[in-house]
Amino acid sequence: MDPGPLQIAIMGHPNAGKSSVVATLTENDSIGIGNTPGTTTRSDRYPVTIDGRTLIEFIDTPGFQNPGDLLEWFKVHRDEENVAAAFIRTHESNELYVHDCELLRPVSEGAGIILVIDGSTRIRQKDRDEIELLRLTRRPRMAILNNMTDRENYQSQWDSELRMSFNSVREFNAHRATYAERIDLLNAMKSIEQGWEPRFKLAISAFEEDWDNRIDQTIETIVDLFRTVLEYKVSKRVDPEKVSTRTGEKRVRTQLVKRLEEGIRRFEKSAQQEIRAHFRHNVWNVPPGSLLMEDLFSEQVSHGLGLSKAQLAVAGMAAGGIAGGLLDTTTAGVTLGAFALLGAAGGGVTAWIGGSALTRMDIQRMLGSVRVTVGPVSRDGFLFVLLDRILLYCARAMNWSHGRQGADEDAANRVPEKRLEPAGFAQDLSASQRKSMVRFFAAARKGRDSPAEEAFREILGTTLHELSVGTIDSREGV
Amino acid sequence: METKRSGSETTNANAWENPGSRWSVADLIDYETFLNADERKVRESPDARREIAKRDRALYLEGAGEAIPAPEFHTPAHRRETLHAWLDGRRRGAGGQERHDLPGETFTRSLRMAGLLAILAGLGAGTGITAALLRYDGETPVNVSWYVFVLVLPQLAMALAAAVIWLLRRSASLGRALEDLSWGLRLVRSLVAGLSRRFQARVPQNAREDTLARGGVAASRSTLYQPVSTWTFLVPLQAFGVAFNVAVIVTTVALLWFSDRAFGWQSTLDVPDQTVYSIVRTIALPWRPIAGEGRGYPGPEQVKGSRIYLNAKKEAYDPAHLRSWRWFLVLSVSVYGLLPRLALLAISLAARRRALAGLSFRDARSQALYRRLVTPSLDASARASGAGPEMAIPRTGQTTRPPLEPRTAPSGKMGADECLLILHVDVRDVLKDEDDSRLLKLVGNHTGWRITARRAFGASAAGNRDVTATVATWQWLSPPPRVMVVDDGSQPPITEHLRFLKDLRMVTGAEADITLALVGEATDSEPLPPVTGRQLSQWRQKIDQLADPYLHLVSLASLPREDA
Repeated sequence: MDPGPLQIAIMGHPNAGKSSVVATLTENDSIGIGNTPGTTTRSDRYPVTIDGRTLIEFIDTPGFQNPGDLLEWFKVHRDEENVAAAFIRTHESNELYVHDCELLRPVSEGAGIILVIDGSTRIRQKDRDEIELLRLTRRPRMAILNNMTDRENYQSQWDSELRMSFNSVREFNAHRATYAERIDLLNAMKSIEQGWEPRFKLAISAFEEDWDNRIDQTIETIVDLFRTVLEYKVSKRVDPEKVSTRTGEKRVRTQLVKRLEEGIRRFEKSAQQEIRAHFRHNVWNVPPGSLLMEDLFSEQVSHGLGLSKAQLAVAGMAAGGIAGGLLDTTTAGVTLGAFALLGAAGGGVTAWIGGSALTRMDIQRMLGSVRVTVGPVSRDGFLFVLLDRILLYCARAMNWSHGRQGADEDAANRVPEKRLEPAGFAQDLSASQRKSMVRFFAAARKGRDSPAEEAFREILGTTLHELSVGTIDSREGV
Repeated sequence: METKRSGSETTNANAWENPGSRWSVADLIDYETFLNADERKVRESPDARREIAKRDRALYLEGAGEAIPAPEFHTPAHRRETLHAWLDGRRRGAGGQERHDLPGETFTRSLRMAGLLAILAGLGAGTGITAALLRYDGETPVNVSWYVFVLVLPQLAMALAAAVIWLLRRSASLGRALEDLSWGLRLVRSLVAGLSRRFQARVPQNAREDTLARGGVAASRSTLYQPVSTWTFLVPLQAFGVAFNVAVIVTTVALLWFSDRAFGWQSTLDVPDQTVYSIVRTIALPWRPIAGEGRGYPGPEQVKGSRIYLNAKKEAYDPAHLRSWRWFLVLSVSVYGLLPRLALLAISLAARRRALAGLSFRDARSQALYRRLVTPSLDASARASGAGPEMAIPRTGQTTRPPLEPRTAPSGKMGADECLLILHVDVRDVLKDEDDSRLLKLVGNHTGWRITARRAFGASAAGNRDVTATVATWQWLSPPPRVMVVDDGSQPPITEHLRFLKDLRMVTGAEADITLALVGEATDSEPLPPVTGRQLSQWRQKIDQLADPYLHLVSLASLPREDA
């Protein structure tokens, strides 16, 4: 028989960050979080449902309003089998204890306890009262030190105070927790009570598989973005007179490039929205000055992201070398690799000096009119910028905690954003990875399938996984 | 019930005995159709992705999820079986017309029809050509050379060529030769592409992009399924060959059975009879053990006796020699025509089955679907059930504690400018002796009062009761009573604190002057910092709700300029 969902009551003092912890654990930013105390006024249940079956229910409770009274009553009635239920029976008609009864109700029904404590402040009397009264409930319990600031001087005091009364004590910043930290916390929860382990194992495994799935979906989105951008052309039929002079030609080109850029911005935006949906973000905040806020074609973005000229030249040489190598093959090797050499040199030089134009213009003369086409993007440098931007966006989406909506981003003592020099991820790729990418760009530009696409997917997969587990920096704030 | 997820423990060994064999060409076509439909849906509305994922997971749990042992996950066999189960589910879920319109069944019927037509064409061609080659006017014997050249040697050459290509299929030289052959094809293809571009230039951009996208998808899919499609289309071709040879044999036997025909050979060159005999004997090599000389093929005398000379009278020929070729002809077609065709048909069928069984479904679209299927559907997006009552604000006379015990002994007397200081224990505990003068100064700044006595509250409920009981016993020489309460303003106000203030009001009287002074988060260097503007405002909201006109709220230390 199904024993029903495992219930975990998230308890604590008002404004300790209980709702933030639930929102971050369940990746649910629809949970109301405010930085004014008392936002949660009733016990709300947030089930974790896997294939229609609820395994765990996190219960976000209101804060303690009368911890001193509760402790006094609990001490007097400590022999009650279910002291929480007895308290509710006695006090539920008294409106002064409405929140205390509400928060104790899940405990009286057998829920496990997670006490959320603002670990950035010193231990106060009410904290001691709450710790003691929760001990008297005799339910499995864990304490979370939710330090949302840069102050760490009370951590050890809290730790020793809590260890006496709680099965487990963990530090967890609900505003900044990453995927890996979230999974770590869930893993810690499973060990609080032996009976919890199977359900937590299932839930953690579902969270992990779901995460991998999201990464795969993100890879699809990015590959689609590049395929779309690399096949995108803009054309216009014009009067031959209009392109008969250099100035006229330049004017038409400028108009079409503008349209091409608008199209690419649209594709990028749409990919970003998809990525945001993959990681279930409804509430979002990008810091001012972030490269994500700048225009894709702006100077700041092109300087801050992408590859250096030298790196581009090396990657371009690889692509040129391959094209030349194909020519060598057709001559059955008679040319002794001369084409490969020339191709590599050509590719490198083009990348070094010819990389300023975003795209080439094609003029097709027809009877009575001229068709002018720009696109697809021919500047590999821009594609690496686009790659960096979308990876930055992914990093933000993956590591933006769902509980952060309640953070006071203006607070003087908040955990500061890392100050990093504007830089993306492409710089850190190996030369062979960059070469694979250039090969993929070249094939996608021609609408061809290429083995390089698989390599591109692998590079994306590795980067996104490393961002998840924190092996590489998420460049928050860039 | 245990959740059916990737770790499902239910097993069904039968489903795995012959993995992959369930896929047919019709399945592949329907599979692609459903994938395209889903992709279109997602393109039209990205929100459809979630619905599709939900539907696919449900299909998986209904079908394959039951039958798959956990260790098999992410193996090719598991992927094939899972995707097939999904296809079955999608077909079941398709409505009447949609199901009827699925192209897989139509393709199967068309292929069957093509096979039938190929058989009919083979039978017709075989019968016609044989009848023409064996036409006998009763004067000149039928020339067996034509029969062999038309019906046997080309088929033998084709079978040999197929065998050579098969054996050398991986050699580079053959690859280059085939590439050379394909140059012509490429030329045609580029011509078609050029024409197509000109045509596309005239259609609207949306339609053009759609056509290109479809073309791209079709091209990428055809690469994936190339082995399957090659063998699939070879089957009707081989059926044609088999039917052709059967028709040749049946027609030949029928003509032999129902008519008396003379067969011979002729040559303008001076070809020795012995040479022809040797060729015939070599051709008959495969059936010599069962149908020997004189029966399965003509002997030297019969070869010699059946040579046709110009102007020779038919009486000059021995009828037995002229008939001696008949079974040679039948057996030649059987061995060099029918048998290779049957073998190729069997190979085509087996290869098609093998290609179907070997489909890995590792392409991006299939992998994405597979992931959707095997990944448990996780939902933790529940919304809050609604707002509850706000925190309780104690009303006058509202108490939950035992009535205050009257104290008989007075605590002391309070002068005109004197007050009672009540410190919260959290504030008291961080104060050092040297902070005392500053505290007194700050209190004085706000009220001008001198502190005569001090108490602490907040240590326990009983302690609070004791404090209020003590306050009640003070004698105020110059009423109203004056009480300064210093509380920790860095923590949000809670009912318990408000109730203490209310109790204090009860024991000091309705017009007693009570000042609540808040201090902020203490640090090692500053035990009495000011509260922030936000904290003060949070407290003010609650204090205002107490509706006590003689209760003043202040920040003990001055607020920072921006907060003030």
